[in-house]
Amino acid sequence: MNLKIKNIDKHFKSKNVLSRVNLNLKNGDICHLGGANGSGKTTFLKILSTIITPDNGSIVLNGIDSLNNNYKKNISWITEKNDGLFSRLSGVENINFFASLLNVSQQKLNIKIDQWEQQIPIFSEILRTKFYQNSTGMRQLLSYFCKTLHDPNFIILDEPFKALDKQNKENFVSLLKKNHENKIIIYSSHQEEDNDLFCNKNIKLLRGKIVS
Amino acid sequence: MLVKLIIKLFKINIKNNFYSPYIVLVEIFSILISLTIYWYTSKAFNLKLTDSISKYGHDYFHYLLLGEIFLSIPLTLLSGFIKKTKMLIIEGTFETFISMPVNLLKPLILLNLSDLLIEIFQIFLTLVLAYLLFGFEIPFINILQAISIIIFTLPIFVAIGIVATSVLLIFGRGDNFIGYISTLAAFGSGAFFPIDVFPEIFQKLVTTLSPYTIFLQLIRNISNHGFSNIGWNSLQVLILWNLLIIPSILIFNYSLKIYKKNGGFIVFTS
Repeated sequence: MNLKIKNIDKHFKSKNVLSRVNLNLKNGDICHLGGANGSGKTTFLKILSTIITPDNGSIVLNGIDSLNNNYKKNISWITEKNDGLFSRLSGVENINFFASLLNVSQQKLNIKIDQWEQQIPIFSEILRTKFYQNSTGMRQLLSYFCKTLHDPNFIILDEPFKALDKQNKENFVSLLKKNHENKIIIYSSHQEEDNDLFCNKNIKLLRGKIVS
Repeated sequence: MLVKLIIKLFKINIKNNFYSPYIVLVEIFSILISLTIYWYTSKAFNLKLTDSISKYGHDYFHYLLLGEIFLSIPLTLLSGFIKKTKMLIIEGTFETFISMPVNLLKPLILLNLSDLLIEIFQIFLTLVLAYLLFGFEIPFINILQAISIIIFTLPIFVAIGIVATSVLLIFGRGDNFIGYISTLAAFGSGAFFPIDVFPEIFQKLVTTLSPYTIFLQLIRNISNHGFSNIGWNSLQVLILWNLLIIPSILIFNYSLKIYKKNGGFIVFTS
């Protein structure tokens, strides 16, 4: 598993947001993307998630170009917003919606739910509880579960710890570590203390360019 | 699989919309208010409109009610696509769907069709109350036949909804435009009063080309006479309109490219 990002440029009107961004990541890499507000972190992650198209450059994941539809089968875009989840539905009902959308079989789904229930004791409660009654940490877990149902190899997280307290942050990190030993993870944060949370690669964007 | 998902979404919608028995009561109350307004409006204008609506076989109350409830289906799809897309964009769900290995049109159409089932559920409630309390007398079998026309014309109004969404994605706005189209469609289709009052050229134009007018006229014919008076010419025009689904998908894919290039710039107006 490898990710090759070559010469990514992006501008909006006259503003240059990203210029000549290059990055190579491989199996097991957990990359922290730092930088101040407006440095281009979210734009860069959205480009990796195919939400925005770059002006120039290419992204190739394991030989599959991001313009190819198969690329999406290998990625997951997760933010702190819990978007796409229905507030008045229970965890199980939300999961079933995403499973239907992503064509995940009931058998595969049951296996994954069992695994999570064993790993995370609170997950059983999340399954039963209506989404709006969950705490922020529980919501984040459910959102993460739903959006990785298709078992992606490349996880893109935009400010995943923004709304989490210290305890929830640690729980979430431990979950990511357990579940993605042989995958690529990239996550953004502008908080310095998130650098050393669990990454083994650290890069920083400054005015659209990688500086470290 | 798709039907299963629509039904699942419909159940989600029912839970989301009618999460308490009080909400159902409020819904029934609001339908009763609407029916009462139609009832007294028809009392006020029935005599004046007797001649122009006689060909439809019923009084003005039936005319108004049929127009209002059945036109709500294509209009829900027209405005629903835009509203749903904007809501998904605000929530961030739109971006999530773009990044997922699914055709974006799939969740968009499914969410709108499940909303449509809610609309149909409300129509059903309205008809039941109209039958029970307001002397509504169109045979139920005719109403069922009219519903089959809804299913037949669904691709047309889904396609128009998709085109409307594409306008939003390309230009970053489109609310007012859709508002004008909805108003024009409502008046031009004869939902509230017969189109005989319009200039002849306008009448010819809408009865030949507008899918809203043709749809509503077919519904009125079938409601009153069943399939025996279906109007094959109108049906042929609607078959042609059904083909719009193909260019609408192409237009949507193009608009998505523009949206991704622009970085998701959408203007939100109230």
